[in-house]
Amino acid sequence: MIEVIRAGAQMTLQGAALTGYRHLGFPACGAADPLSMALANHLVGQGATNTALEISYGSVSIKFRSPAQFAIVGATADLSLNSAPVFPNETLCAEAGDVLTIGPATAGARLYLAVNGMLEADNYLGTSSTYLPARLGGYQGRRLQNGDCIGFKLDRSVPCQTLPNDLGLTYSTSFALRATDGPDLKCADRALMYGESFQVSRRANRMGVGLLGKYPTNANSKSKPSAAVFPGTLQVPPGLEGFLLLADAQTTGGYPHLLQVNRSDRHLLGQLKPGDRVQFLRRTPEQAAKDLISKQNHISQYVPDFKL
Amino acid sequence: MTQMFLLGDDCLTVSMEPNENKHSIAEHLRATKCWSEVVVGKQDITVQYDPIILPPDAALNQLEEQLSHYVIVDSALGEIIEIPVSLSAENAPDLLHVAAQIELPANKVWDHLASRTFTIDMLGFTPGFAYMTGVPEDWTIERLSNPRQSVPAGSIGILTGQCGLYALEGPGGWPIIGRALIPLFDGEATQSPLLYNANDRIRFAPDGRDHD
Repeated sequence: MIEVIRAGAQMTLQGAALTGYRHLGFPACGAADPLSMALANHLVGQGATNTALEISYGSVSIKFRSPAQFAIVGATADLSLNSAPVFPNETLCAEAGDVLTIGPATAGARLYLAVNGMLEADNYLGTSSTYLPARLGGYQGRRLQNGDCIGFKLDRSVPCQTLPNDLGLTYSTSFALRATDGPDLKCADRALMYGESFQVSRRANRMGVGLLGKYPTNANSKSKPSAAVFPGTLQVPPGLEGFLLLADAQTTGGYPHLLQVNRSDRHLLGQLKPGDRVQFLRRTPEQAAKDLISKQNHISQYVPDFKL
Repeated sequence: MTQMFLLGDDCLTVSMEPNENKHSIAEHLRATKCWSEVVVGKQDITVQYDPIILPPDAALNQLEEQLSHYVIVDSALGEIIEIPVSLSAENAPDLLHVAAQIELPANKVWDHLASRTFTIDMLGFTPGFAYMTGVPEDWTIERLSNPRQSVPAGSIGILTGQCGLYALEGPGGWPIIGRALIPLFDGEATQSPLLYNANDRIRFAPDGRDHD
């Protein structure tokens, strides 16, 4: 069992994303950064979408009330086990009573803590992912609070491993995201959208992140008939702030859709935090498919069951 | 006339004139198992594909071919589903306010609604939220000036020209005039988790009243 001593800004249980339910209005759900979660799970011998803790912005502590093998992957933060420093991107071991402390995230937004075992969680539509607005999944459908305990069944121990250097990503506070033109981007506005350095606003959560910056004039002057939107969609409602959609975002929207962050780079959206800089790199759909195949092949060598 | 275009790096959109068969076309596309998502918008259908399995140009060809095989089904209308409704003050917090806006006595609002059949035009916004047409056309009803952080599952909202079903708890800005007495969502369902599909028709049976 693990006990939450200090829950921080937002800690939830996350698992698989939903597929095939968007026409009923169900968002993707699941880890905001599914790659980091898959890597953490892999280090403890678990499948890519095994239930794990998603920890936003760090600053938490957790007590292991029983022995565990665990791993942490994601945002940069100081980690310690009973005051002794430990490291991300490798398999770690805890004894009963050990306290893990995670400092504030200094680069990137979310850390994933996976354990070698099955964390107890509520399920719906075949996933354990917490969907906060409707209080579904995870731990009673809500964020974890101080004192909550999560049971788990310990699996047979696995050999300790360390992530290859090129997979344990180190984030900075600026992100370059590969994207394709959205249906409402005019050719004349490409230079502006792909040249601008946007800044993540304070409005940042699992639904999406606000992006402050200069948008094409008239881009946001009218709404259009509601159409499908997805994680990675950059919508521009009236005002100065665009909204880049994440895992829990709604399924349809009527605001101009200027860009779509490509599937190859969508895992990075979960690492954007207020103040970070974002620039978009233009790709055609054909180039995007090549980027995706190359990144997927690279990841698959290490985590065969993870799909971007 | 339909027009197809690539949307981002892993979606395709078919835009169409207002089309009463759009939900049945979407169902046809879903049945091909070719697309990970098939989402109906107001005037289009968007499909999502995996560019690793299906390159963008091949996806376009597939979609074009599938659409050419679509056969218009006889019944464009879906099932009729009857939903019992609670009108208690707790479950219908805005009923009096809505009645005042349309200048009707509160007990008459549901007399009108219960005699009508609503059609689910679209699902979305939040999980299972159903946009329905069929509200009397001369009713002018504004959004709440302060949207609620949380509306209970089953709530029935109304606006000018449309009413909505909140399948799950969630934020909402529509005035709430009743609440379904049966669950609209079943997370354990093996088939569809919702009581209804797009295109189904809904009749409301206010609690304690006979329904004809």
